[in-house]
Amino acid sequence: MEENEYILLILKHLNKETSPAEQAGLQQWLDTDPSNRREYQAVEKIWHDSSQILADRQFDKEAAWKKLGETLTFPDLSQPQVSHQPEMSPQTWLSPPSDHRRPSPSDRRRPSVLGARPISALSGFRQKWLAAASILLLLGVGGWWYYSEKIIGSRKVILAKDGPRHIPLPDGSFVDLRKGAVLTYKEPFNEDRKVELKGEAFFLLATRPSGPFSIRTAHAIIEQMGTSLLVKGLPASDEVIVTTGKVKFTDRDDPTSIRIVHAGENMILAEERFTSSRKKDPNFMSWKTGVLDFRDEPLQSAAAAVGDFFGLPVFISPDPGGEMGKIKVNARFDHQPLEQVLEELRLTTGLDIRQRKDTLVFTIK
Amino acid sequence: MNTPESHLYRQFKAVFDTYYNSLCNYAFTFIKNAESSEDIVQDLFIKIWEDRRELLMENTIRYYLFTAVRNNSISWLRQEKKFVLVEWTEREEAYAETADAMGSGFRHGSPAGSVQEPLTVADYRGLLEKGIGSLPPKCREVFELSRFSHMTYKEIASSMGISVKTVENQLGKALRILRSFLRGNGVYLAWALINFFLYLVGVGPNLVFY
Repeated sequence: MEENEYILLILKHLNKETSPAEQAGLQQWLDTDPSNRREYQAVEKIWHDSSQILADRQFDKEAAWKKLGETLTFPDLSQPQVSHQPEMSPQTWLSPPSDHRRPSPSDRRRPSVLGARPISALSGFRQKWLAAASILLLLGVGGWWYYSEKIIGSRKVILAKDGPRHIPLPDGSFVDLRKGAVLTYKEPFNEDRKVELKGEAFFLLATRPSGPFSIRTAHAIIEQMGTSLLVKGLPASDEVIVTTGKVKFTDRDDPTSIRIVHAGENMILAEERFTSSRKKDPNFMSWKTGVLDFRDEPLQSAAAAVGDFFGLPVFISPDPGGEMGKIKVNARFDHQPLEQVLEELRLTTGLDIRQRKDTLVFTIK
Repeated sequence: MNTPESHLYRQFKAVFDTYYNSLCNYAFTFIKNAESSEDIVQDLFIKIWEDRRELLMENTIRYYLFTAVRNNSISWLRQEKKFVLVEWTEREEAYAETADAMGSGFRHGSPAGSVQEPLTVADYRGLLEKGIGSLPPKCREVFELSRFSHMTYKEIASSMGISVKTVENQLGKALRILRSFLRGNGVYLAWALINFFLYLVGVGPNLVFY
């Protein structure tokens, strides 16, 4: 056998890519002559030693892991794991809004409420989300590399780990990140003024003649035409609420799908469809202001706002008489802890309201 | 069922532990700068945890990691304008064949045209390292990716955008070159040992040690 031939065969063997016939051929060659065996050993040694020699440089893995921990939010494994099994039977959990009534946009942007579903539906929801993510992955691979090409090595990642964070940007703009939100931009913050957002944030944008500020989320690109806006870049949907000025809201999956959102308006992009609610949610910036203000607010949406504010799912017990539907909430909370808020709600609504594990449960007495 | 979050976290840590050093070393082959290599790998792990957690549970993670490091390293170099991507040309193929045919004589010149001091290292590892350093660029790239990642021919082919046959041929070529390189230097070593022996017995000329 020629040198080229047996080296290819040995390599295939080392890579576990030989066919049975090739394997037999290799064996035969090895048995023909002891020098063949030595040759095999020499090639094998080079093959294995090369791996070691190439990966010779030692990098500080511990330090790198620590650095990752400072940027990312990891689950706290020191705490006993919270069981996802609800205490009540699954049937009593809040049905998806579509069962009761048309989902209002304010429901759609409250993941804590949407998340409060029977456990089976919840895992189904998760699965769907994962499926959607992998489809996005297939479509998005090229795009991601294209984008990372521009920001690699010099990007700044800001995470609001423990609570809301107020961040001045180099161009004079300000961003308020809600807890858990991640903002990424290229440093130095160049004339493009492009940021990436995951989660919820309020932007107060500086006007620059050099060009608009743009915010990229998982699904959308939002470009500045005015000055301040709130963006919620959630896994399933994006929402923009403009307080002053106006913005251009573009579906990343379909760049021809564009909405201009003006001051005082909101717009939601979910499943590639834009929707807008006429009624303004007075508490859309509670996480930033620390204030929850309810005036004749239906119990359902008030409960959802409280849950959203404290990051807790909400469960409303079955209400055959429809009594809860009639309850309106009038209250104002200013930087008050959860227990105080619940206490006041109990007093004003006459409901039994308590926190069970990580869920707020509302029940008729 | 485990809580998916903590399960993912453990998987993330395991993937990090397994691949961190190899990935940094792999990035280093392009970047030649330890800090930037680590930045690239750090960015990649951030990206995975933030956006691509589903990848952690898939057996293609190795393919994904090395391909991303490769692409991002090349992008980094382009951005730094330190590098022009080596094109796969017939000229290079021909060059590789010639270099190959030169056998042991190969050690006297480097294909990259860089200055290489004469070989005096009587050390197998050192020799192998020099041998790898003197592989033709594309051949070396395929070889290095294979040795760092332990990917299959098919994965390497897909990662680099070349055919499976090319991967196989380039790996074969790398091994042939390294084999003959070591063989050639083996002769050289034998010669050096004989000289040393002659020196010990006091026959060698001009071999006064002090």
